[in-house]
Formats: sequence, structure tokens, C-alpha cells
Amino acid sequence: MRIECAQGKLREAVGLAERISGKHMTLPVLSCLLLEAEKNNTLTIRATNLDLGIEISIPAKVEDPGVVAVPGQTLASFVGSIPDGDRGVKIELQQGNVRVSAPRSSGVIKTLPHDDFPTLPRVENGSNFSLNASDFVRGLKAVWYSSSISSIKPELSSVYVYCEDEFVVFVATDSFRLAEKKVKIKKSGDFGMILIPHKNIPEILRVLENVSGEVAVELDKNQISFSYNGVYLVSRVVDGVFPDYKQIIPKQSVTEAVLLKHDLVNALKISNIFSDKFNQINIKIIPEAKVCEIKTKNSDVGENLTALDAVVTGEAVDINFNYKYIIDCFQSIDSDSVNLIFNGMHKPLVISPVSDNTFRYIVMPMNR
Amino acid sequence: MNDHIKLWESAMVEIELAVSEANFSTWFKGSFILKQEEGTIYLGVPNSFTRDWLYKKFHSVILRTLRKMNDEIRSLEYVITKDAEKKKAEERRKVQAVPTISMPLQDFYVNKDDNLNPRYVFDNFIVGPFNELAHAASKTVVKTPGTAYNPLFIYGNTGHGKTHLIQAIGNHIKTEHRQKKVFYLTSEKFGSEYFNALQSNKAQQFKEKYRKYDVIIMDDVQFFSGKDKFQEEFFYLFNTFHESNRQLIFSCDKHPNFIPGLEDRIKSRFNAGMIIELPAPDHESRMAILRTKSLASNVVLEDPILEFLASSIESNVRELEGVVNAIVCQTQLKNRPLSLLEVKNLVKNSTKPKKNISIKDVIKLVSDFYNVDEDSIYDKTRKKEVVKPRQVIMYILREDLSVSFPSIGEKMGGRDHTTVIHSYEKVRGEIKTNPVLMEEISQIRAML
Repeated sequence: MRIECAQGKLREAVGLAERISGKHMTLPVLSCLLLEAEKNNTLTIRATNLDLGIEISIPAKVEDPGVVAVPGQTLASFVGSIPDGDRGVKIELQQGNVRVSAPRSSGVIKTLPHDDFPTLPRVENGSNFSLNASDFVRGLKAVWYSSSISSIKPELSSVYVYCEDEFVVFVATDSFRLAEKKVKIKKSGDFGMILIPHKNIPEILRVLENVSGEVAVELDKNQISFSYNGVYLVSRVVDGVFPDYKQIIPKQSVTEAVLLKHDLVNALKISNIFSDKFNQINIKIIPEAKVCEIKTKNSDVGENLTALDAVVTGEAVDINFNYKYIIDCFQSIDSDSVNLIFNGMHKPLVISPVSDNTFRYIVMPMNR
Repeated sequence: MNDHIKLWESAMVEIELAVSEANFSTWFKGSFILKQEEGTIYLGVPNSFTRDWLYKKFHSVILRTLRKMNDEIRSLEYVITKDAEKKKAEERRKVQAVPTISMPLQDFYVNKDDNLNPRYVFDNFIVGPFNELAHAASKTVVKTPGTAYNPLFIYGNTGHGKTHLIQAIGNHIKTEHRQKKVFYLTSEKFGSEYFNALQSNKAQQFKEKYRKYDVIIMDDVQFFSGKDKFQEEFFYLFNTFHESNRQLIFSCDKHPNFIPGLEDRIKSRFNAGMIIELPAPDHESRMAILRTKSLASNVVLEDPILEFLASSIESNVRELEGVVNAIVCQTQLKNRPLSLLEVKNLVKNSTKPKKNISIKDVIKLVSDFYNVDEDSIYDKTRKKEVVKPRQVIMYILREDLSVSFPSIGEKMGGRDHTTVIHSYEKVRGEIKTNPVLMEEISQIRAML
């Protein structure tokens, strides 16, 4: 194999693919990138961790076609640190090693037998549609941190995506809190529902973030693929049913408080200093004083109380939460003020940005 | 099943020798034989990577190895299985003391495409003398949807099994006529969807959505009462379906003729099909229901207990279920069968206390119902519009509240007890022949 390609393109492609290649796998070839040079002047870079797979084709001058499996991390770090320049990078196979040479530096990297490198599954007989990538990324980003880390319930350790009229709705929950985001996405055609595994989301986000415009999607029972511009990304999807989450969203409210987001985030950050091992905070809403008090206490450290101005309607509230669950949601709230809706003891709290009804966040209280 | 495990274990031993260790642990660990059918082995694998790779690289090796052990095996298929089953054990270990209350998340018990709850089938529908007609009609509809009884209209009070029956029809049509598209919804949902569609200028999409189905099952159509716009849209839908011989199934809490505020043209269309009542279960059926429900939870109830329960809870299947649940729970808690006395105590708590209704309440309610002045009931006037409510009040006081004839007369403006007896007998006789009066009285009773 002997090829030459542009450095920038190669660096970008190797960088993306390397993140997806398998780490700590029993099969060493999975930590490699498979470089395949074809006669039609394309270089295809493939990587997979058996949960996600990616294939990136970039233009290259192919003098001698061939296939090689190179340890991903080594190649990515090396290509990433070659001094910048518009000149091409040459890749050639020499006695079982790959020589990567740029004008001013070159390296020789050991390869592995490429026969064991798996093919990427293709989505068969699935539904096809295309959608706007940046909108899709926005939706995933707004909720995915809420999904469950444990793998006990595969449905909960995924992000649930479904169509509702012209919106696409993204939902994630770990059964202690739940985030829901509705995004108006330009798309060609509807799909039923998708459950994307939580651990694949960072990689999917990284790949789709580079896309401006449409990405073609194919979906079947077991996998989903995104393709655009020479990139093909395939992820496993969970074949299951997301719980009926709408029934837990409170319909009415006992107390409503509107606070400045900045104030609340600051108070929660202070809570971090004094909270106990359960991250417990006490929230007290006092309607007469128009105040929201946030109190934390740790017998080993000390205690703290922050009073925040709030616009309150409804009854007084005194309730405990895990502040980590609350603070998480502010990464998806852009507005200046937030609306807290309480429903009494042992009932969930709903947090939503004021004047934006596309995002809702629900947190369960602590039971003491 | 055990044969499968053994077969695969011994095959794995051979395969392990044939492939490299790394390959073996990546591709073969976690696979298992799902089933064997007519010489085909179905191999469960965790993901599509594994499926594709096994097929591409190791298919012949696996097949050869399997054939060596069992020469009946002809082919091999790969099936992606959920890894959920394997993780059950993990679940038990991981119950940790998290102080945050977890959400009562419940699984969807309905199928998203047709809205049907798969648990409602005929197999767990208990047939007794009270519902055998409805059951038979439903079975006929399943056999020949669209032609036999169209529309099928089932009515009865809450808890008599309407929803179960009509959903079972849907589920069975689905299995027996695979190409038919079934959709279940409540009339309330239909209404609110129509309203939303109007608001967002999508009336056309709304129409098309429903016209693509072959069978529509609509629950609780009494919610249409008084909603003219919905009724109009529903009327068009009805006609499209009926003309093209597509099945419509409805349930309601009363006979279509007595749904207030329902347009005549819709009433007559309901009447064109088959209208069946699901009455309250009779004593034997209640016994049968209790027996099946308790057996389903592995609790055997003695006959005297069944007898007692069946006679003390009369109306509602749902209440019967509730009592059985309570008994099952107590039995498991105490780890022994309950005695009749304990059951009696339980039932005392779980049945609703009867409301105390005064004679004044009845008079007020009935006069409101017939829209007459309450005072005129006590008067001596013999105007027709007052006489009827007056007689109905006397009938209800005697029949439902068991007030004596003389005291009814006394409370209603000092009438003679013979007048009361005459009114009572008159209403009682008329009920049998006049369905309108019967329906009015049952509505009044529902309000008491």
C-alpha cells in the first residue's frame, strides 16, 4: 500500500475514528484503525468497539492499493502532532510496518493482521429519512446526562427519541430525575421511536457536531446509522420500550416559584461545600417573605443557608433534594429565570425555563 | 432446553481449539442456542457486529462443529437477542439505599401502533350467563369483521368488562386477520385530537389518520354528548367506515338512545348494528370470577368465603378484583389461608360506606332533574309536569330507601298513604313498558 493525502483531512478523520475504536478489548485488532486504500483514489478509515462503528472516506492519491490495521491511538497522536502544513502526508506499508511521512517528520508504526478486523453492520430494510444534524445534536445534548449509568435497565440507560407532530422529543431518565426536550427538526419523514444507548451518545455527538445541514439516517430494530459526506456512523439501538413517562409529570401545582437562574446555580454551588454524603439540600419556599431558602448541613463540616428572592404563588414548601440532580439541568436552560413547580411532600419538582416550553426537568425529592 | 446448553457447550469446546483465544472471547462468549427447528439452529448473539462477523468468518466452522454432534442440523441462523435476560441477576445485587425517591415509572402496557393492551384477550375473559351474548357476538365479529355486526355497540355500567371485551376483539382480529389494521381509542381522545387538529389547521391530516384503519374500536362514546362539532366529524368517519364494510366497535355506559345530546342521525346509525348490554354479573358468575382471579394468584378460597364475597359485592367486577387482591395480600402476609371472619373484616374496610340520603335530598334532586320547582312537589297541584316527578320520588323513596308509605305521604305535603301506594305501583308497572322512564330513573339513581 502506498498513498498520499492531505494532512488536515487525515488528521480530522483519524481523530474521529480513533475515539470510537475499542479500548481494553480482548481482541487487540479492535483498538486499531483499518486503513483501506482503493483504486478509485479514496482512503477509507474504519473503527469499531462492537457497539458503535464508523467509516470515513477521504480523497487520497492511491499509488498502490492495500489494507492495513494500525493501532489507533498511536496513529492519531502522531498524525495529530505533525507540524501543520498544507503538504501531503504519505502512508506506505514497509515489511509489516506503516511508514507515515510528512515533509519534516516521519514515523514507523507497527501493524496488526487486518484479517480479524470486523465489517460494519449495514442497516437492512430499515426506515430511511434525513434530518438536520445540529438540531438533533441540540436535542440529545439537552437530555442525555439524565439517563441511567447502570446497565440494569437498558431502556433507562438510553435516550428515548420519538416524533410528535412537527417536533422530535428527546427524553432521558434514571428514575430519579427526568429531562424532556422538544425540538422542531427539519426532517424528511417520520420515525416511530429510537432508544440510543447512553454510552454511545458522546461519540455520536462528536461526529454529528461537525455536520452542518442534513444527515441521512437509516433505522431498523437493532441499529441506527447516520451518513453524510463520506462518513458512515452506525450505533446499536436498544430494542425495548421506554416507560410511560408522561404519567409521572405532575398536572397541577401546589407552589410555583420563579427565580433567577444565576442566583440558584450559585446557591447550589455553595451547597456543594456543606452538603452531606447524600448531597442533601433543603429547599424552603416562604410565600409571605417571597423568599426561597436553600439550606445544607453536614455534621462534619458545618452548615449554610442562602436566601434567594423569588416570585411565589401558592403554599409554603419544605422539601429535601439531592442537589446534584438539580444542578445538572442548568446546562440545558438558557433563559435568565427558571420556574420551579412543587407539588407537596414526596412529589416531584418540575423545573422549566421561563417562557420556553420545550424543556422540562423533573426531580424526585428525598424521602426524609 | 438443557440439550441446547449441552450441545452449545461441547461445540464451544471444539470451536475454542479452532480459533484464537482473543477471537473466541470476543465473538463466542455470550452466544447461546435460542432454539432448534427442523434442522435449523437459531443462535442468539448480543449485537449485529457479532452476527455479521460470525456469519462472515466462522459460519462454516460453527456449522461443521454442530453437525459433527448432531447430523440432523442443516443450517444455522443468527438472531440478535436483548441482553436484558442475562442481567436479571445483576439487578438483585444492586439494590442500594438511595435516599431519593425513585419515580413510579411504569411500562407502557399498550402497543403503540394500535393502542391495544395485549393483556386483554378472550382467554382471561370470564363468560357467564350475564355476558354470553356479548361474548358470542364479539367472537362473530372477530371471525368476519366488517360484515357480521357493524357497528357492534356494547353498553353497560362501569366494571362490567366493556373495555376488556372490545380490546379482546381488537387483539384477536389482529392475530386472525394479519393484514387488518386495528386502532383503539377513547372518544375523549378522538375529541381532543380533533380539537388540536382544528387549532393547528391540520383537519385534513386528522381525517386521513383514521381513514387508513380497517377496524376502529372506540371506548366510552358517552363523552360525545353535547359536543356537536365532534359528532359531525365522527358522523363522516362513521359513514366512510360503514360504506366500505370496515368494522366499528363502540362501548358506552348507556344505550345509545339515552345518551343525552347525541344527534339523532348518530343514534340511528348505532341502532343499525348490534346493540348488546353487558349487565352486572349474576351470583354464579361472580363466584366464577372470584375463583379464577384468586387461582391466578395461587390462593384457593373456600366455598363459604366465595359465597359470602359473591353475595356482599354485587355490582362491579373491578371491586371483586380489588377484594381478591386484598385477600391475596393478607394471605401472603400471614402465610396461611384467611378465615371467614377475617375476610368479613377485610371486606368491611374495602367496600364503600353507603351514603346517607335524606328524603329532602331525593326531592331536591328529582325536581332538579325534571326541572320543576321544588315547592310545587309539596303542593296539591295536579299539573302533569309535577305529577310525574312526584310519583318518581315516591317510587324511589319506597324502593331504594324503604321508607314506609304513611311517612312518605306525610313528608310530601300530608298525602294519604293510599295515594303513595298508587303512585308506587303505577311507576313500578310503567317502568317495565316504558324504557324512557326506566332510563330516567336509573340516571337519577346514579346521581344519588
